[in-house]
Amino acid sequence: MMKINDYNNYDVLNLYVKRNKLEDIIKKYEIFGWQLEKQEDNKDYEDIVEVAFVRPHKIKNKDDLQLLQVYMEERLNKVGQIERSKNAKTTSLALIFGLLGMALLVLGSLDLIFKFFNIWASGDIIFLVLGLILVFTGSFIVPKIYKKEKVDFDAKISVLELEIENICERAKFLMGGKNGK
Amino acid sequence: MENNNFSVTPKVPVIKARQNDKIYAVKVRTEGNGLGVLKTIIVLSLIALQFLVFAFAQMYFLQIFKGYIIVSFAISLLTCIYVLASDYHGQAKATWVLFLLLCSSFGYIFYFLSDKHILFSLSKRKYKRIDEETHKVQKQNDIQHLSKEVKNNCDYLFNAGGFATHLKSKCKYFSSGAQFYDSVLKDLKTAKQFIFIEYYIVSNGVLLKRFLDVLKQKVKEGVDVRIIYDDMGSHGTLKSKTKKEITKAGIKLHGFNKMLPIFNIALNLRDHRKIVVIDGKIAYTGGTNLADEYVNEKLMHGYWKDSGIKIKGKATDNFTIAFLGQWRFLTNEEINYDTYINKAEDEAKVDGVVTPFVSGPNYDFSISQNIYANEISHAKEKLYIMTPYFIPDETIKNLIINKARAGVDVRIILPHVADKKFVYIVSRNNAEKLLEFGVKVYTMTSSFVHSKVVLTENSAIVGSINMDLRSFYQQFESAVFTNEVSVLKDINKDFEKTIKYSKQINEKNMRRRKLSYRMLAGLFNLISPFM
Repeated sequence: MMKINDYNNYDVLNLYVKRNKLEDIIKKYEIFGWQLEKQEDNKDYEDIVEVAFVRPHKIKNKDDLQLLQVYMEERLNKVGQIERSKNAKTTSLALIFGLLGMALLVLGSLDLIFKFFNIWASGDIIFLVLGLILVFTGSFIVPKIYKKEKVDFDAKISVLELEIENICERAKFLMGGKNGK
Repeated sequence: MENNNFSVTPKVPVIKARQNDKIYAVKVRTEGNGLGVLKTIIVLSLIALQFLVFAFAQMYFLQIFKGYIIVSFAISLLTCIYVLASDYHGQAKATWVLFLLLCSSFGYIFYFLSDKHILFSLSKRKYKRIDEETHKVQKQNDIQHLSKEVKNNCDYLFNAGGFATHLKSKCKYFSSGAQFYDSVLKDLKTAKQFIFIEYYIVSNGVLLKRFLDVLKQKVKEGVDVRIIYDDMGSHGTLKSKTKKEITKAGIKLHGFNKMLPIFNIALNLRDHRKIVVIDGKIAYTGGTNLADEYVNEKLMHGYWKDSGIKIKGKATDNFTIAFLGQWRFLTNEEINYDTYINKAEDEAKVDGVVTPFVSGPNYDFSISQNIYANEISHAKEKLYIMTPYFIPDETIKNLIINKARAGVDVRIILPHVADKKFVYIVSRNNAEKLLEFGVKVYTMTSSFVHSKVVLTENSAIVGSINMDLRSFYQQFESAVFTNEVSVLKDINKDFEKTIKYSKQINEKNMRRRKLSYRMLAGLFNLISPFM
C-alpha cells in the first residue's frame, strides 16, 4: 500500500506551495519528519505547486512538533505577506505624485496653448508649477520612503527568518537530530 | 487566521472553487463542506420563514383587533413574572425579561417556544423514569476515609446524580487529542463484548476511518457496537453515505435530537458528551470529538490543544450506565443494566478515587455548574482552569474572585485563536475583568485551547464541560472527578507546559481595548445565556 493511503500508519500533509519557495519549504518540513510523497503543478496557477508529505503516525514529541510546525507556518506566511506588500506603499505614492503631477502639467500646457481657462489669467503657469513641484517632490520623496521601507521590511523578514531558524533547530532537537539525543 | 497572503497553506481538498482563496488569501482553515453549508442555510431559512409567519400574524392581529397591543403587553408582563419565578439562573432571567419588555408584542411567543419547562417536559419525564432505573443500579462505596473536600464532591455527585465513587479504579490523563486517540484505538482492538461511543461531533475524515476499520472488524467478531452522535454537532460533517456505511456494517447508530428547522428549545439542548466505553472495563472522556482537527490532522484554528482521560476499572460502570440511559431514551429499548456492569476487576496500586459523571437538562439542577462551584470553593492553594469558552455565571465568577482575593493562585488558560469570534470576545472580556482581583489569565499562542480541565491541590475535573452557561444549563456533558495523585501531577505538568507556550494577559492589554470592542463585549455578554 502506498504510504499516502495507509492512514493507520502514516499521517498525510497536503500543501500548496509557491514555486519559488518549494525547495526551501520541502527542506523545512523534512526537519519535522515529513517526507515528500507527491508533487504536481497546480492546474490553475503556474506559480503554485501542490505537494503531499507523509510521516509515520507514531513519532516522538509529535504534539510539540505539531505546535512548532504551526509557529513555522505562521512565520513563513508572514514573510510571504511582507514580501508581497513590500512595494505597495511606494508604488501607490509614486502613482499619486506621478499621475497628479503629469495631469497638472498637461492641463497647464493645454491652457498655455489654447487659453480655455479664462477665469484666471495666470492659471496655466500655476498648473505647470504645481505639476512640476509634484513630479519633483515625488521623485525625491518616493525613493526615500522606498529605501526606508525596504530597511524596515528587510529587518522584519530577518527577525522572522531567525525565528523560523530557531523553530527548525528546536524541531531538529525534538526529532532527535543534530542537537538532540 | 487573518486573510493575508501566505506563501504556504495547507491544501483544501474539498471545494475546488475555494482553492483559489486558499493559495493567495490565506486561511489555514481546512474545513468546508458544501452540503453542510447548504443544510445550515436551509434550516436557517426555514427558521427565518417561521419568524416571518409570526410577524405577519402579529400585523394581522393588530389590524383586526386594535387592543392587541394592550393584550400582548399584559401577556408579556405575566410572562416576565413567570420567568422571574422560574428556576433559570439570574443572567438568563434578566436577559429574558429585557427581551420580553422590549419586544412585548411577540417576545412571549419566542419565550414559550424556548422554555424547557414546557416543550422539554415530556422528554424530561421520560428521562426521569430512566434516571430512576439507573440510580438503582449504582451503589456508593465507603468513602469515609477521604479528605473533607474530596468526600464533599463525591457525596454531591452520588446524591445529585447517583454517580458512585470508585476506590479501586485508575485514571490516565492525556494532554493532547493525538495521544488520547492512539490509546482509544489501541484499546478498541481489545474489545470482546461491547463498545459504546457517544460524541457531539462525528466527522468524516482520517480519524473516523481509523475508528471504522477497528469497529467493523469488532462487529465481525461479534462485539456489540453502538454509536450516539449529536445531530446538530455532526450535521454537515458526518455524511449520509458514511452513516449508511456504518449501519450496513452492523454498527448501531443513533442521532441525538434530530435538527428540525423549527425554532424551539430542542435546537439548544445538545448532547455534548464524549464517551467511549469498552467492555465495561475501560472508558474515556475528555474534550475531543471524533474529528480530524482534534488530532491536528486537519488545521482549523492553529494548533488544537485538547485533553482527555482514560478510566480503567469498575468506575467505567458510571459511563456504561449513562450511555445506556441515553440509548434507552433514544430507542425505547428495554435494558438490563446488570449484563453490562461489574465487568472490571479491581485495579492494583491505586492512589486516589475516581467518579465519572454526566450532567444535562434532564436533572432539576445543573450538576456540571455545581460540581465546578464545589471544586473551586475547595481550592486553598491553587485553582487552574483550562477552557475554550469563559462565560461563567455570577456564582462561579464570584467564587473565582473570592479565591484570588484570598491568595489562591488562580490561573485561567484560554485560546489565542478564536473558533467563534463573538463567543471569544465575551470569554476574553470576562477573563480580563478578573485581572484586577489577581487572577492570572493566559492565552496559548497560535492555538485553540479546547481542553476543559479544572485543577486544585485536592482534585481535578476533566471532561467535556466548558466554563460557560450552555455547558452548565443546556447541554448533556460528561466528565471525571478524581484525586488520583499521579493524574493530578500529569495535569499540573500539562498546565505548566501550556503556560510556557502562552502569553499572559495584563491590565495594559485590557486598557488598550477600544470603546467599540467593550461595547460589543457588553452586548454579547447580554445575550451570552443563549450563546
